[in-house]
Amino acid sequence: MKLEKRAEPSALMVYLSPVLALLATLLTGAAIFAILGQPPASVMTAFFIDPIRDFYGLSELLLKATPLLLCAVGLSLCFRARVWNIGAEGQFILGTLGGGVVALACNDMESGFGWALLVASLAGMAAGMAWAAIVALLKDRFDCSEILTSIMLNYIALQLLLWAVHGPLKDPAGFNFPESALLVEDLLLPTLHPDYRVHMGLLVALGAAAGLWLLISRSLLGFQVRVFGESSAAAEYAGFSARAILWFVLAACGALAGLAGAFEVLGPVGQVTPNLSAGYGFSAIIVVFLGRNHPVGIVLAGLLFALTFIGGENLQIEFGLPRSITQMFQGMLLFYLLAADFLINYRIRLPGFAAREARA
Amino acid sequence: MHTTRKPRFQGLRRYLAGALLPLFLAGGAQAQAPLKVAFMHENPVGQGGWTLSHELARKKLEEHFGDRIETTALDGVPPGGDAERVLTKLARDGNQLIFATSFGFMNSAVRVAKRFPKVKFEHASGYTTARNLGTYQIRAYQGRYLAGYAAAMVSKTGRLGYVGSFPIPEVLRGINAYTIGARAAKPDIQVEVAWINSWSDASRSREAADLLIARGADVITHHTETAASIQAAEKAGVWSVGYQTDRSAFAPQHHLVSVAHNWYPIYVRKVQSVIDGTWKPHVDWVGVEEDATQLVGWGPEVPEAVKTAVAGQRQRMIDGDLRVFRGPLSDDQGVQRVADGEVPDDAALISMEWMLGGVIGGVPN
Amino acid sequence: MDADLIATLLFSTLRAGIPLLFCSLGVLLAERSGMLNLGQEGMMLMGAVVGFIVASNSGSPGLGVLAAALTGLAFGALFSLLTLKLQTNQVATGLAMTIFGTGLSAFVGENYVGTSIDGIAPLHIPLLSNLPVVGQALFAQDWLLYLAWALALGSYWLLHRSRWGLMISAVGENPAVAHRLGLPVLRIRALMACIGGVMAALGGAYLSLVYTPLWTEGMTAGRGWIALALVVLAGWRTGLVLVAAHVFGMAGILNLLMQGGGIPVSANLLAMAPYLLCIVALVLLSRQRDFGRYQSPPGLGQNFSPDN
Repeated sequence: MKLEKRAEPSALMVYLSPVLALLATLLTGAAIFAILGQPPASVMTAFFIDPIRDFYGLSELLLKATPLLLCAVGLSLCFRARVWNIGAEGQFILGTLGGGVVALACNDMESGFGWALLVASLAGMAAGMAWAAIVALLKDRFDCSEILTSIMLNYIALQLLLWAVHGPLKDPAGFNFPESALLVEDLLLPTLHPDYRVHMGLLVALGAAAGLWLLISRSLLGFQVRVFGESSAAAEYAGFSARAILWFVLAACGALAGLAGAFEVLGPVGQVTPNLSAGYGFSAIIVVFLGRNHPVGIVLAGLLFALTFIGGENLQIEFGLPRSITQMFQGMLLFYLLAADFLINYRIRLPGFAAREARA
Repeated sequence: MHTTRKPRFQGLRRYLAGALLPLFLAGGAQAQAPLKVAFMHENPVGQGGWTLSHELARKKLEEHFGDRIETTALDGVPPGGDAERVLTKLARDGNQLIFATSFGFMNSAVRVAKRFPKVKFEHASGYTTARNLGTYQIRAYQGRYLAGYAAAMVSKTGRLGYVGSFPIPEVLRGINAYTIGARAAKPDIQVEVAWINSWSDASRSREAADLLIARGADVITHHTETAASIQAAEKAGVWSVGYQTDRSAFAPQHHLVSVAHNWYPIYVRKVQSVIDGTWKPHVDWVGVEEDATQLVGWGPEVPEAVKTAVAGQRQRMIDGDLRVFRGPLSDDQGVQRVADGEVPDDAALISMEWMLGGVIGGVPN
Repeated sequence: MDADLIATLLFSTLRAGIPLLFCSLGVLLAERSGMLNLGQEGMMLMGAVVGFIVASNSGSPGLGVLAAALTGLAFGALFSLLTLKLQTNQVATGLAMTIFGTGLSAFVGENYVGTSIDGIAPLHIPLLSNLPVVGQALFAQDWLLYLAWALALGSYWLLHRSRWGLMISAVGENPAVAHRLGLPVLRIRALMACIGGVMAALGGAYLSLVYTPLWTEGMTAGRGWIALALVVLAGWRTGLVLVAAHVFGMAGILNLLMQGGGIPVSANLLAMAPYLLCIVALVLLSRQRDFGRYQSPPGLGQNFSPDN
């Protein structure tokens, strides 16, 4: 067996590699379950099919995917510009705080909830953007690695949230438990269907993905982002400001992640609690890679990733399997995908195969 | 908010029901489908504390009821949107009784309970009830009092160390009760708290224990998921008081005792009442009278006198002669929190955000 | 404060820094060659759980350490295979390792929660360990701690005093140029990533075999991420990594001391302090660009393929 570099990246493999990765993950997973003495086929069904058998299941999947998608779209923009922002988690948390503070202030209003909802969402965006702006500032002004600064800011954001719920945001009528008051019904995002929890945020997330697609494929700015990603020197040479691109991608990502955070507070959770982010900002990074950094891919990958969370719960419920299986699956999926990407630029030659090809 | 007192003779009735049940079963009731009971936990079982204590009870529950129930358990469920989804899933799966074991699940449980009026929900450590939502809690502070009493008796330095996590009411209640118990045995005893700002960080827990020991504490207890502080005490050759589950395995020589949560009697009662069709949404705080907070894992070096004295205190508690919190009690700022002779109600206990005067360490923030 | 208390504090603060020291030395060595592995947390957890399982089944903590090191080696090799051979993105691969390692460690460690082992006993170096105040802290620790110090010395020599160090730095600074100079870029990077894996796993094993000889899920509590931060703080210098690891080990204990002293410091502010400091350090380092010595490897996190 020999590896050989392709003359050109394989267009087929770009689409095929996620499928191959998924297949490899499924096969490995099945093998693990077989070793554990569980029937692989029914475990796999419970993991990947059962959660989405009905509309309710689908609606829950979409709800879980909404914050992932919002964060992932923002990160995708950063990664296209090769700005390795690991800080969507922190930006998300700031969004929960920004949105939460405004919403809680409006909790006792008599009317005007629609406006309050809008302002709270914008506040979440602004807070997330401000948090990302720190990364941009440090990179722009001091040339600090955005990977490192954004990781640090994630932890700082989490402590801020903990401080807020143990302190100023604590519900005065909540028996001193560290969480805010519940938001009134009118302050919550309208759901798409009265029976389901999936809310308007989904449309915003899909809109964001569409916007990303338009931006990168149709606009000059998108082109500039791409050039900047290749080389900031080239960007300067081409006559546009590399600094502006850096600030733009980070601000956009911060805004989207912040919005995702605000939507969690204004949507399914309905209050500020210490554990609002179930690691959405981190998971979104994987979603971007799974989705080939392409808007359509990201939507699909976001749905798949949300499915692994829900499917993992199903395995616990139906087979008594431990929750850690979910994380193992997610890690494995990413390993396989990253590895399968190799096939885009390389081909595997089996001995004898070349000769046959030559004859043909 | 008020606590529902359990009617007398309930235990007796339960035994009768238990004795009669095999008769029913023999009478052709085998066709009855098992009652589906589900548990949802926030922390991983793998952290070895709170969630594990519930899991131990669930296993005993399965043994007790056999084919009559079928249980499901999930751990590591994040509160918020995920908890609500899991609760809904459990209700839709046909579970008739669902236990949500973390405070953070309260509001999700309220919402889901509204949508599934036929399903019974039980939420641990909260304060909200609804038509089909009860709440239950162990009066662990009673166990804390007893452990504090024992700790003061064995302490030679007159100083007790307490590794705290977060200053939330549940933790503060424990510290205060432990201190009150210790002072009951030795009025001049000192209790020092070190806050580690984490539930599960083993290393921080150990560091806090080491420091407390270095400052003269010779009994160490903790309110964290991890048992690392117990190990630290064992290594240093001082006494330790475990929490949540029996932690004596971590200190085979110098363990004093563990204050374990025993959810089993509560769970048996709740499951039985659903089977019997008598379930009601109670605010159910259960303590020593049902052995829900129990002192287990006495170490090999504990003097018999200590065990006897603690047993005496426990009996007084069961008889109603001894209330852990009885005024006058003042906090660390000198403000009187409970007036002389007064006994705070459960609402005051559940929201206890103050620390008893004289405890060293203070409440952070 | 009396001498006994100081002696005890010294003893435990030195130990507290060791998991961080192991892991951040590994990060340092790998990053010097341009390998940025965000999978530290996952590797530490795997080291901790495998070390504990092997030690508790075999009764030999030494075997546990060995098994942990091998696990780390396997993870380092996996990282090398993916990023060097298959040219995957280092950031994504590292994150995948953290997620995978966290899940796998919880999975295999399930039956070991709530069990205890004796752990590695401290050595008592005769005479020296009886010295007042510092005797216990310096001469009555466990062998894994001395190994960490020896490894710190070793990496100092390797990075700053040997010909190898120049090669490693060259690869980390500009792999393309290093390749043209005839250096085996991929082999050096793979080797450093493997060493990094071993060190991270040893850091985890120190937790589960010495510091707190037990296993609980997620017991590293973010130390892998702190190690990444410490290397930045230290400006990629071995000596400063050693100092930084110990200072941070001490910080946790100081925090507790301050609480006891009645100095009101917000717990959350203290918890964010390392990360805030790290950002400050990054800013200061960038101002010191002229000094050259304190610099992040320019090729950090960038893939290199000799084919291109």
